[in-house]
Amino acid sequence: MHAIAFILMLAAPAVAQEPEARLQKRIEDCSKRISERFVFFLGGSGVFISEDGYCLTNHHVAGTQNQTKVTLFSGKQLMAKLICTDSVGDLSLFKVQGAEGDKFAFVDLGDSDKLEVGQYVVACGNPFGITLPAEDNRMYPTITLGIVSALHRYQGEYFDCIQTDAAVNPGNSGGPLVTLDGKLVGINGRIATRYMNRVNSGVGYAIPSIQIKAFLPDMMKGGEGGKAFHGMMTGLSLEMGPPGTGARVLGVRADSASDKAGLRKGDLVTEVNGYRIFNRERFLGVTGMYPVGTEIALKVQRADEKLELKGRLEKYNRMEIAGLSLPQRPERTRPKGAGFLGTTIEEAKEGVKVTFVTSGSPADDADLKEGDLLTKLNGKKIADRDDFLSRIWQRKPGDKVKLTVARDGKEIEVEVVLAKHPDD
Amino acid sequence: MIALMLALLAPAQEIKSDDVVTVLEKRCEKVSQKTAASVVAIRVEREPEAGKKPVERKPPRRNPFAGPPPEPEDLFAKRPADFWCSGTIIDADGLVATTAFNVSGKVKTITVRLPDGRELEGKVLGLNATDDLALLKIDAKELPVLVPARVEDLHAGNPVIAVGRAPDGKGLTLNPGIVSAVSRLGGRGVQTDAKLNFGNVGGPLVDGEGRLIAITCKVDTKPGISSTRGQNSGVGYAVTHEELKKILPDLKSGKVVLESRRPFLGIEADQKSALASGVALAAVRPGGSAERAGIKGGDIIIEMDGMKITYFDELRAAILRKAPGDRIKVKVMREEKELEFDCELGWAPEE
Repeated sequence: MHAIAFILMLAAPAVAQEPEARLQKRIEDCSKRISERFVFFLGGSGVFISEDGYCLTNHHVAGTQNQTKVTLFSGKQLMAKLICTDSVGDLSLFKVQGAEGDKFAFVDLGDSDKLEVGQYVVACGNPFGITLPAEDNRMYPTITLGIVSALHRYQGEYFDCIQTDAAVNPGNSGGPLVTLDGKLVGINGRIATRYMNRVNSGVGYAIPSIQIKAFLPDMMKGGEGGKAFHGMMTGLSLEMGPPGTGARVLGVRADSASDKAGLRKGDLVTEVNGYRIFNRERFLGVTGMYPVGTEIALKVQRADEKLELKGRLEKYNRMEIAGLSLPQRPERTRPKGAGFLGTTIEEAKEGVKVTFVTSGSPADDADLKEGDLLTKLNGKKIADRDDFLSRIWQRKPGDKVKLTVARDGKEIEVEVVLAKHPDD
Repeated sequence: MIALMLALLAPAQEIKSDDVVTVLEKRCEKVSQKTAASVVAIRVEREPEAGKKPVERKPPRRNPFAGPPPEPEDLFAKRPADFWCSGTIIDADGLVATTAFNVSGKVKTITVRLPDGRELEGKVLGLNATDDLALLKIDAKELPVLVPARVEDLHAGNPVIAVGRAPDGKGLTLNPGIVSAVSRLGGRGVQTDAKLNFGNVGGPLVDGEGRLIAITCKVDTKPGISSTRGQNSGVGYAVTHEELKKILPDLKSGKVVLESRRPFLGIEADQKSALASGVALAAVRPGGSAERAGIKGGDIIIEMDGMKITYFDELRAAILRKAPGDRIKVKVMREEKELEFDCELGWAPEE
């Protein structure tokens, strides 16, 4: 008896160290494990994340349905109720309605930040909806093996996704991406395709588990009326460009989240919540993966100073990311030979606000200053920026205009003689 | 006792390097050595097939509200007039298995190139488009045959390699992957994520030891389903050697099934039904096997061949495991009475 134990002790490590067998076994165990924890949604995939039946899928799979039929690995069909959905992050949380006391096998959430490029991952799904009950009435989902191709990819509203070459096809959406130890690191949701052929091309994207973890506590509680919302640093204009040392701030809107955080024009944002920022995309990627209201820590380089700022994310606004937050009109061009005042202006509540005065210009001569509010031109109200510009441009160099200027709560009237534009 | 010890220690002694990549490389080398002699290249010359040329098209501007783009009709040209594909030697006396897709159509000549360089004329004995298998006869003896693997031991995650021949008819191609799922193609095949293409399909799918699991198949150019069975999608099928063995007598005797058609009961399920168990029928197809047996719209199917049916996909899967012409027993509920019908499955209408 002792002899057997001894031999086993000797033999066991030798077998365990054999890398091919070890890898093979891990893939097989992981495949079996994830299959049993898989949920079939109509036209898509899902996975259990808790014993009492909470499961995740993509918003684009089932997020618009209040309840839907799901099929489990055992072949059982049950109803699942929508708990909360996140239409921006493409994630939906459902609860499968089992019988009293039903316990479901589930996967643990892993840490997608600990992934490494080149690491093996297993994707599980129902590509093209091909799965039918087998002879034993079980539903065997499709297992595909691949590696992590890239991390922290910014793909629009897949803010910080994992790229994998494990075959992911239409129908895999909502399915789990797991590491070989069976931990959920992502929810597969998108693929890059070519020639409009919706078939895997070796480039699949998954929502990372760190984003899921950030949203899950709130989503479990039902979110805001069944919806979860992403946050963003509103009112921030960042320089576009290739990866570098940070994201350069081009402008900050007054009273926005960025203004409140203390960001200023010219700042270089180098870090958010410990993640290095190397360009605008990465900044949007990091800030986009947290829920609205989250506090974030920013590291900023301002001239020679290194600052640490704190910000609170405001509600994600798709239009603002696309640069459409403010009504944009085509920039008007000054007709040749028109009068020249020498100010840069922006819209204000009443009239226009001076943001810059060219030195040596008529405006400078008339002692206009940055921050001045111009309310009237020749006694007539200035409606907006366009109105002001067109009225200036109607005039010729040498023409006199009377401007009503509000400064420090007082209104004064100045007379300006328009000059010839330096470019003319 | 000693035997036990040796058995346990043996695998550890074989592997010297602890590098996983090296080990995987060695596995591929081993598989190519073990399988190369049994994988043949098949040159098929046929009448040119009128197919759409691959269209160079600009993706139209996406309307974000229009949903996903439509499935492409058929992005690939039909089978070229002269092309090389792969086959597997399954009998030492000159029998080669390949896919029906490879050798069907208006074929002029089929040349089988053996790994030793001999080029022999191939003759199609039998063909089964349902399983996408075809049997070729060549005039050769004492050919090497692959050792079969135990299919019932397979499960998802097992390493597999799809072996084929390169388009020059000479080189061997290896596409490694894993078993994605067992019990596919109505229990007759397995699914793999090894990449399958028009060239390597028809070759063997082998395990890490180079043993034959299945013949890769079901990569075709049919419009509509090309995305599910197209090239390189990572969703590939292979018909097991056990299924091949089952239909081998038919193939040998020259049976040709040209249409890939499935068994068909001829029922329409009620999509809106909210039954906890059973399949409510909205209607039965006129002239279909269900109608001929006496099943009516409004009936609720609760059992098939003694197996309890709780939802539609179960019934569908159970029917797909049968063949056209098979007889099945269907139990239905009609006005709170249980009735049993004996149906002969028909052919599914053409896709």
